[in-house]
Amino acid sequence: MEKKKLLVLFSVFLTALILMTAGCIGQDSAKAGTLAEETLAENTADGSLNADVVYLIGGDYGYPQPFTIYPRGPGSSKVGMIFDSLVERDEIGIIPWLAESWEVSPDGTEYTFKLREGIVWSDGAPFTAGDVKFTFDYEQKNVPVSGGIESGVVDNVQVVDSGTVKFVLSQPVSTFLYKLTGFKIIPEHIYENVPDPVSFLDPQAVTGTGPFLLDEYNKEHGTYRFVTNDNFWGPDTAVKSVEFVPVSDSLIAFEQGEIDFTGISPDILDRFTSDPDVRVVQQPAFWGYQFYFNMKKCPELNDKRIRQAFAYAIDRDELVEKIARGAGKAGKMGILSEDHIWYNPDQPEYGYNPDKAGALLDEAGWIDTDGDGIRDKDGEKLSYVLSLGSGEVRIGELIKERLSEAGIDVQVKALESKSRDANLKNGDFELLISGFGGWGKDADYLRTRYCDTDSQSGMSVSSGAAVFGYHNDTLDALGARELQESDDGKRMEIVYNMQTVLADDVPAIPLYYTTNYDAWRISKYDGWMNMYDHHARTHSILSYLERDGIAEKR
Amino acid sequence: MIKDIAAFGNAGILSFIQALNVNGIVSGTAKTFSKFSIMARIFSKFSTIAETFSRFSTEGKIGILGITCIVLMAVFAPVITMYPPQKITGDSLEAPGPGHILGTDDLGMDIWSQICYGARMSLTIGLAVAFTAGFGGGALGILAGYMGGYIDQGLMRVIDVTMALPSFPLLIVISAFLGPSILNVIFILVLFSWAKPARIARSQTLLLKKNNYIIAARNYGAKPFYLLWRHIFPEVMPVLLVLIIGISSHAIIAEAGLAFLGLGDPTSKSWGMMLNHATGFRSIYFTPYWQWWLLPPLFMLIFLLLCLAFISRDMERILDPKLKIKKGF
Repeated sequence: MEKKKLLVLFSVFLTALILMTAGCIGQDSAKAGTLAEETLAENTADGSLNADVVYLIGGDYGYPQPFTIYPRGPGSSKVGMIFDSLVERDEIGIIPWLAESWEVSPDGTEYTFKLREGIVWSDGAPFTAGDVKFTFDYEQKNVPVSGGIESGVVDNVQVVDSGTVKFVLSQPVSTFLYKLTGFKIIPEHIYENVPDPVSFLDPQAVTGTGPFLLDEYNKEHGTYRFVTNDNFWGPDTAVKSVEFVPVSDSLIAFEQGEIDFTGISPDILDRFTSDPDVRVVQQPAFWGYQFYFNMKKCPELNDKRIRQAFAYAIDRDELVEKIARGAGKAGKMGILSEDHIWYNPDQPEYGYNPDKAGALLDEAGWIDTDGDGIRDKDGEKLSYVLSLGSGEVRIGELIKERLSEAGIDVQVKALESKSRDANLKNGDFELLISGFGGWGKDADYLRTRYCDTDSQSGMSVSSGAAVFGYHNDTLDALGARELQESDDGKRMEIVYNMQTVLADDVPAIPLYYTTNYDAWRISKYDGWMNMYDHHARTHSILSYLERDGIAEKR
Repeated sequence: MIKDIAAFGNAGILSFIQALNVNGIVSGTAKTFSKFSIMARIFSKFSTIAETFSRFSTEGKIGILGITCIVLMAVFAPVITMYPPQKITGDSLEAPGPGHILGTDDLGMDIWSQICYGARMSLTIGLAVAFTAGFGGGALGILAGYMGGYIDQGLMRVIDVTMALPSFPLLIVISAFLGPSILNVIFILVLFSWAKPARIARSQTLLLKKNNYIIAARNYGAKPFYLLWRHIFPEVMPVLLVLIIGISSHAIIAEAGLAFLGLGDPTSKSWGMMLNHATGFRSIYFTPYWQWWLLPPLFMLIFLLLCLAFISRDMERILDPKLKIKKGF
């Protein structure tokens, strides 16, 4: 009896030991992970351009109507499957969508759109210019989650005839057409009777003109099923239905065929690059993490030397190396990523330099007087609470470590990402890290994010300057000029200047931009495409459509 | 039986001290006397410990040795590790090698140090929860049992409710609500584990207070506190100890579980947090990293819990006959 027990025990410990030592094997394979972009062999095989159903990673992003969706990429892209905008974005630029053509008056204040004929809502009612005007008027009171038009830009919208609509702007706005790509038109005959769209979760609420219908939505499981809208005015759907299914590990689900599209970690690239059925493509650096300072709550942060010290003390290349596993680009203090068309390569650089950070803090009067490793001034310690989402804890840990070298104390406070977003929106934080997409959008976001001249519309996750208390006269002036400049060359020059100002002033620190790898099975569906300013292929409505000839008139 | 051992041990100590006492008087210096007496005490302690130890089964011995190892690891963590656990001392995900015995995690922090310092976290939380819940709950139970009446009834109902609550789901909700910190975790775990010792201490007290010697003592004018402290508490103590071990293993699992779910202090270096970070690493099972990042904390947890289980089983076995005798009174 006793002997038997002993034997069992012994075998338990033996297996333990064997498994422990197993950790020592496989050192060579460990390094093989990070593959550079250029070594990524292009899979040239042709794939299927049609599919009955495509499975994607699910998750709850709210009911897919413009007022109840959760303000992140996967959310607004689901709204885009049901609702259409006047103009749409493809791989190269802006293309006609609900509007067939448009004219701009010479002074840049009147945009006249000629709408396509024969468009109907999914319930059969005809789509008219009245719906466009209604959407604009309605959203003056009920601000949509994303894609709303900033207040003060449009003076009024006029219905010329049932197929023509005119936007009258209060001043020339260079990015107006671009902004309209996110302006989803809602049906007047349904929403006119809805006083509070935020609680409008009726199936009627998802009546759109877009290529898909919402067939099923389950909040608890985070599943969506979209099926083809037979009344759709435009090209045929290449994918008959799109299903978002819950997965616990996306890679395992992809391997088992539960989903057809996934992001993959750079460590396991070679697992897929050799597979002829899988196409692996690197995303452009249009998704990034930003490090926020709350200058309202912590007035000492108004001193730009302190903010610059943060920029010097945080090793952003290390973040890319360790957290992004090499698939990323270190943040530029001019905010725009290197991949952005208007990135200014000539701006102040902030390499990792703890000595410089220390010198700047010394200069600002923050000196460690009591020898506890934390700088202080007038009895107050340079100590902050860093709020972040639970997925960004590792970033926080690394930053905490690097900042402590410079004598800045940071306590990491991990929140659920939705409450982090809420805190950011309300300005309820000291330091904060948030990751979001849209860094490839028109550079006008430099103005909406960092100029406190007017409040930002919507409930964006990239909060505006007014919330965190940043103010810079030069930047505000540049922003106002940029908005009204209609000549692209001149506008680019202004944007370049804005980047220089921002890089010098460091109102926020972009930590790094991710360049993740997407992988999909080409035998299943190979029609994925990216919008020219966006990182995620699954977010483009054109990814699911036959695209021949839709961009004829650009 | 424990009592017998104790009695025997005491006799041993007494005779030893007496013998040394004679020696001390002969040598004539008080200084050497005290020195000898301390040594004698230590020696006799050792002998009683060795005596108890020999009563354990093989598994029990392995358990005790294992726990001792882990405690030593935790206590001497700064000595046996080369790097502090929160410092970035190497490259990302270095494989085990001479520089880092167990390799590094994704941030380049030494895993061996994290294991050693993590032992502190697990033990601290385990012991803190177990002792607070065990003795706190025990004291409440003894008081309730001794005083009886409404207080007893009230406490019993509270205990019933506490025991009926599903603890882990509630743990998750409360710790999510209170926010992650070690003190909160301890507080929550205590909140859910005091009921069992309280209930058992109460039933033991009810049993004991009817004993003739206690009634006699009371009749001679013993104050309640004296009775509780001198007669009842020592009798309940062994049962509480077994429970405490049980609670501590439960607390360690719960802490690791909470940490794994990301509800612990995110920057702490506990084993559960290591598991959380390792499993949170994207597609870790498709890389070799899990071997040196995921396995060590997992094995340490399993090992610690196994040791505790062995010990508690053995202690129960050793104490059980005594409980039976008591019940036979």
